[in-house]
Amino acid sequence: MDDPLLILDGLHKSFGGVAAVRGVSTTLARGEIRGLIGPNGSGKTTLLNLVGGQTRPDRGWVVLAGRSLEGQPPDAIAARGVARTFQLPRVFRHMTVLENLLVVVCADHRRAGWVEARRDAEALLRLVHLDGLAHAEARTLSGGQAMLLQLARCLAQRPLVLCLLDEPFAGVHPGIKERMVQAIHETNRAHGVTFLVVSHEMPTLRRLAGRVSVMHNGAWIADGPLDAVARDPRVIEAYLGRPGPGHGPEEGRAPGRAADGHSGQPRDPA
Amino acid sequence: MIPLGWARALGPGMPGASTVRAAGAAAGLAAAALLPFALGSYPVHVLTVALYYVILASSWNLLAGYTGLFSLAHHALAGLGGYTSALLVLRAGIPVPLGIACGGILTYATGYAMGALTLRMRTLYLALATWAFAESTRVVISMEYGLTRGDLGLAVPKLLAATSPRPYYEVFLAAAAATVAGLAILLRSRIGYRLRAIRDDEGVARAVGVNTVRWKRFVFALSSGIAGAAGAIYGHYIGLLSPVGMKFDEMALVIIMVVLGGQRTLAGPVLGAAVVEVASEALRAYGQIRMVVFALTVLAVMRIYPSGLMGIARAMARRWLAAA
Ligand SMILES: Nc1ncnc2c1ncn2[C@@H]1O[C@H](COP(=O)(O)OP(=O)(O)OP(=O)(O)O)[C@@H](O)[C@H]1O
Ligand SMILES: [Mg+2]
Repeated sequence: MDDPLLILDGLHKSFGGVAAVRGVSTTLARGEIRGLIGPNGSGKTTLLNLVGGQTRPDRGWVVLAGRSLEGQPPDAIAARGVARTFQLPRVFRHMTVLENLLVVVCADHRRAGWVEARRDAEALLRLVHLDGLAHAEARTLSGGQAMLLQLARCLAQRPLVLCLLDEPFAGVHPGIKERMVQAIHETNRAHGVTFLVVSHEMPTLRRLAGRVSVMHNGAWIADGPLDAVARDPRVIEAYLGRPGPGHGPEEGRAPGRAADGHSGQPRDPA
Repeated sequence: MIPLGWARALGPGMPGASTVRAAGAAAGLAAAALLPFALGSYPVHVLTVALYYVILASSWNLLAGYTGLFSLAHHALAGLGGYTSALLVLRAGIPVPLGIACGGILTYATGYAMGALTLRMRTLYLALATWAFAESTRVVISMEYGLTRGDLGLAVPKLLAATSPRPYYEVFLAAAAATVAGLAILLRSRIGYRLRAIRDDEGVARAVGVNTVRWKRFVFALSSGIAGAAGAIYGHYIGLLSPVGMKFDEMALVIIMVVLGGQRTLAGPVLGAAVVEVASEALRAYGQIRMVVFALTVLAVMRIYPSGLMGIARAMARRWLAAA
């Protein structure tokens, strides 16, 4: 189908005096993996909250598969197929790792049987290498493990048409990061699931996302293939606070930090 | 192996372990049913009251322990159920069992409304709001002298013709067993998962598709309805209702029972209610000092074993199994 899966139309959100998201309009195609980058505080998380229903926009619309999400609570949005992870990992701390995935089957809109749900959950835990911890309480997990559990939980949701991942690779071991990339690719290919991935890790995004969007001070400043975006003077300026050649986000540094003066090929993860 | 049909019906609880546990519970229940025949009527009365607190503590554990909604209105809801039933029986002349059902239904509805009104409140505000509701209910009952006879107390028709506490004990035992068994089934079902998810992280529960609004109202209504029905039966057992019984002490007692026994366990509130009520009777001569003793005991237990008596029991069982 040609019509986009997600349309953001003039989205605006302020917190007091701070305009966290201002006038964002864009579309995500069905089956696309889109990267979202931008300096700290540029409004990326707020944008995910606006799509997931955690935050209501002051102005503008979110349209999913041709139908507006206006006024819908997060559980209704989940029922439409939107799943997400959080920047600071959030898991059900007093449940076991396995139960964390089974909760997803207990969503009000789900009717699946336990037995298949349990089988799916176990398969997902193997995918993210947490099967050995299936019966551990989630509060005992490390930060990186909690991040993995979040991703598995996100992928366990049904229906699943759009995954919003908020810095899923932060603090994750390179080998595990590799598995996460594979899991995302596989879910994307096998089920046509669309991903919007916030990340500061350019090398990982390069492998994952066909297109990357850039936010700066709440505005959507650029869109396109990573290499093209990285050469965009506005992007370079947003990351460095001044125009300068060759110091865009393509170097794989954490954005917002001072340039180390060397530009070159992106470093690949392990 | 997990029997598939069983697993499908009950959700992913651990059927193997729960079968053993259910057998143990059934044996315990049979023993409990025979117990009053070996005891005099005063101890039986104490145990009957303990069973009443088992119901209150278990239903509050569902709300506060499992779902994380720290309500301070449970004692008032029990009182409201008691007055509702007593007044309907006295004024409208309906049969006592019907009055008890009405008490349960009215408090179910009250709980539903409380759940709806406190939906967005965080723990502290929820506690304050429910406490305010409890105090206002008590004050209104105390002031509506014409209807409730205020602090003088309302003479309530008895549920049974018997003067011995033994039949009442069996009634409360059946009610307590039904409550605990019902909660066990509920908590193993999808609903139980939803409630526990709400407690751990309401925002994430919502984000994965749990209708947190619906289930918070439901759990408030259900636990309130149970408290109201129990309060109604209790009134028709004691034969006297008074707003004094709706003072905060009662709520504190329920909290102590749950925390001491072990929050978020089924057996915890049962154990806690029995221990606290029996100890409370044994220490009756010490009056209000008892509450201080209980409070200090709870603090000590929480410091050493935050999971309460059940946690201690589990640790001992584990050590014993390891030694064997
Ligand atoms: N709930 C809130 N209340 C007040 N201000 C907020 C709130 N959420 C976000 N903001 C503000 O909105 C701006 C954008 O924040 P947001 O979290 O969306 O940035 P971000 O791009 O995700 O940053 P980071 O890369 O650090 O995660 C910030 O200035 C932040 O202070
Ligand atoms: Mg963020």
